[in-house]
Formats: sequence, structure tokens, C-alpha cells
Amino acid sequence: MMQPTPMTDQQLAQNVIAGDPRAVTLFYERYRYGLFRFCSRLLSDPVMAEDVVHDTFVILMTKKDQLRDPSVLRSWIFTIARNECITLLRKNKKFKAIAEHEEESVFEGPSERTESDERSKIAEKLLNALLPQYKEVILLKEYEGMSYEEIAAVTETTVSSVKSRLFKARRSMMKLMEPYTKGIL
Amino acid sequence: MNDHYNDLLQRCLDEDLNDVEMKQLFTRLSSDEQLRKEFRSLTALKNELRRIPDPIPPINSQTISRMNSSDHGSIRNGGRISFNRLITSKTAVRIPVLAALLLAVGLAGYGAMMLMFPNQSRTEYVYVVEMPPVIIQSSYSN
Repeated sequence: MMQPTPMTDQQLAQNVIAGDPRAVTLFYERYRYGLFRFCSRLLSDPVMAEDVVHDTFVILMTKKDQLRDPSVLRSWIFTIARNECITLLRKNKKFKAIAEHEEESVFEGPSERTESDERSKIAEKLLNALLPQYKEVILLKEYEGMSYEEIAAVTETTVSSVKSRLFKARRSMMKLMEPYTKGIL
Repeated sequence: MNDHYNDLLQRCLDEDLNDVEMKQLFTRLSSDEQLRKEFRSLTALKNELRRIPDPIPPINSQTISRMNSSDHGSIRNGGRISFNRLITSKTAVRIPVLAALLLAVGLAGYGAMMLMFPNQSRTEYVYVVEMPPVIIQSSYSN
């Protein structure tokens, strides 16, 4: 028996804009986790992130008529989610607190933590210690696999700015990571 | 190390180089120790970032649905997330409507049976209650 061909993102986006409820559900199923992952890491709070994901889809449903080009639907929902996250971070002034906290704990020194699990924990702390404009480009590139153009659309900036931020973010993380990776490389 | 090779290095990590640029970068890498070191560090960082476990959505008691891993790349720990705000509003409307519809169909069927078989289909239940003799004693007896 032939399997039905899965809808492409473009087709799905067209059906979402046309108001097909099944397409909306499918769209949600396809993108909710990526959105959640992005928001959760940006906010460092999975509960708040889940709320943002819901709000993002509610906004999508109310404003989908404003979207003319279906090919940008993915970056559009990430833009909505990002803006929601930034609003929350500004409202709660949480980012500053997280950054200060993480920076303190990051600079404890390498000690004996050279195991791979420890290294990934350190990498996570370093990621959380980044400025939000650096963190978001890393998240969108490394975890969501977006192109420079898509990231530029989501972060409402230019491609060259995205490249520059990625470069600075990586350089900054690499520098902070150096004590932990000594002897490994 | 100039900006051009830095740019190539970054784009190599992002799999954004064409064949010519790739060749250019690797030719340079073979002769530039500092660039090689940078490349190793950046690759290590990328690997470390990929090793960070995916966040787990909080389990919502109202509507829980399993993630479809084929749609979301590498989802470890069986991520779960709810769609309650969008789905439950529809379901909440649909369930009473469906129940009312089923009840109406049932009643209509029963009514039709009554009309077609007015006497045969009825079952009469006679309840016989045997009451024990009760002697009421008045406390206000003369």
C-alpha cells in the first residue's frame, strides 16, 4: 500500500493561511517542539516556554491573514515566539539575573570536571551566559538548522549581522570553554 | 589569520561553503597552524553544543500528546507538550454536541419502536410490595 506523501512546509503553510484546521494541527505538530526548544533555551524556563508556544500559535491563528508569503511562515512564527520571549525577559528582568548567575557559576574553574556529561553541562551554562542577541543566533543555527537568511528574518536584522553575531558568540564561548577543553583537543 | 579565512571557517561549520571555497579553506588549513587550532576548537564547541540535552516540556495533565520524532529531529526523552489551548476549545464544544446528537438519535429510535409496535414492545413491570402488618400504637391512648 502506498504511503501518503507528507505535506511540504510550503503546502502546509498555504493550507494554514487558507484556514484548514487539519493543516493548523499538523503545522503545530511539526513545529511545536522546535519552538518550545528555542523558547525554553532562550528563557531558561520550560514552563514559560510552553506558554510562549501556545501564545505564538494563538497569535498565528489570529494574524495569519496578514501573511502573504507562505514560504516565510516558519520564520514568522519564530519571530512571534522570539518577540514574546523578549517581552517576557524584559518584563521579568530575568535575563540579567540569569546571566549574572550563570557567569558566576561558569567561572568556578575547570577542577576535575572533564567527563563528557560535565562538559555538556558547562556548554549549557556558557550558552545561557551569552547575551540574548548572541544566544538566539546560536540557538536558531545549531538547533533549528536555519539558514542565515531565515535567522536574519527571525531576529529582524541583516545576514551580515547574523554572521557577525554567530562569529562573536562562538568566539566568546570558545574562549570561556578553553580551560575545560585543555588536553582534549 | 585574516577575516576572509575566519568567514570561511564559520561558514564551513554552518555547511555553507561551495566546493571552491572548501578547497580554498582546506589548502590554507594545511599550512596555517593557528587556523587549524581555531578550526578544532570551533568543531569541539559545535559538538559540545549538540551534546546538550534537549529541554523536556512540562507534562500537562489536560491534553498530552506524544511528539512525533520524525517531524522534530532528535527529540530525546520522549518530549511531550500539550495543545490544549487550541484543541480543547474545539473539543469542549464538540463533546456536548456529540452527546446530545446521540441522545436524540436514541430517543427517535425508541419513539419509532413505540409507534410501530405499540403493544408488543412494551414490558410492563408490576411491582408487588408486600408490606408487613403494622400496628400503630398511639402513645396518646386513653
